[in-house]
Amino acid sequence: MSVNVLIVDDSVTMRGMVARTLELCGLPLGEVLQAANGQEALELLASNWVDLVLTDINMPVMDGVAFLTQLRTSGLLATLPVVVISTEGSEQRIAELTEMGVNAYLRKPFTPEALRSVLLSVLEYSVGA
Amino acid sequence: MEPELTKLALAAWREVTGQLAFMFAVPASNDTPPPAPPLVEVVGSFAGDNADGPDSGGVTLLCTQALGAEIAANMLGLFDPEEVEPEAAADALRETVNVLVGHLATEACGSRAVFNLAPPVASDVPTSRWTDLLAAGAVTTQVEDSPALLLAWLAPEGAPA
Repeated sequence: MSVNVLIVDDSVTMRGMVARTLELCGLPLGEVLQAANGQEALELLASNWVDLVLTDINMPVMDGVAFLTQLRTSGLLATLPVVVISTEGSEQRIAELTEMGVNAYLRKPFTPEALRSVLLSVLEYSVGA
Repeated sequence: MEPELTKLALAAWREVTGQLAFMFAVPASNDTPPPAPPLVEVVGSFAGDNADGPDSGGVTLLCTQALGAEIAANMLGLFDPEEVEPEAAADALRETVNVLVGHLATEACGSRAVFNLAPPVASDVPTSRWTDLLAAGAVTTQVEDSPALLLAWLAPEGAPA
């Protein structure tokens, strides 16, 4: 089974780095889609199925919190696994994201090993659920 | 820059360049001559609600555009930094400063405080800016072959001119 992933981040180099790290993780990757903000991500999700979303929080147009809020009230997409990859380190913000149904949180900068570990954990949980 | 803040900023800079771009950053002498232009200055800041201490601050990075291209190339897995478009080089520097500011906010103000990060702004600057930032308290760092200046600040002083 291949895994389709959507990467949401306003930095094109960060999206490229995450995509490259995904390739190095040894996961059975399918399609890797990219969006520069939450609005673009929702538009992509309207016509593409993905198995996992990796999203930043601080983004223009529609930030990660607004994106997650819409995602979690969007029928089939409500249970889509989401990993937040962000600079934010506030315990309160991370707790808020967890309450919003975020499956995992990875703080920038991250090592490829850390991303792989988080993805395996989230995907295993998702497949097993 | 306050010695403790300098220490925090340099430690965060080392971690960020190492993990984002797989490049080594070390402290260098402030007598290091400025690098050849073109130079770019990137300013990032945070503001929030911190009852226990500073509630705003930020970081200024001054470096060559070539360093931005090297960071972008390493992030994207490109062999040759000359393949990097100027906008991607600037984007890589903005993202690097963004991550740096996030770490500085947490390290300087504690993990319980909640902050919003302003999107970093990159601008081309003349070489004379090197001297200005050193006078404002910046510290010199060497990222492999490229010297760069780093200036961190906390409220209420705000960003030095």
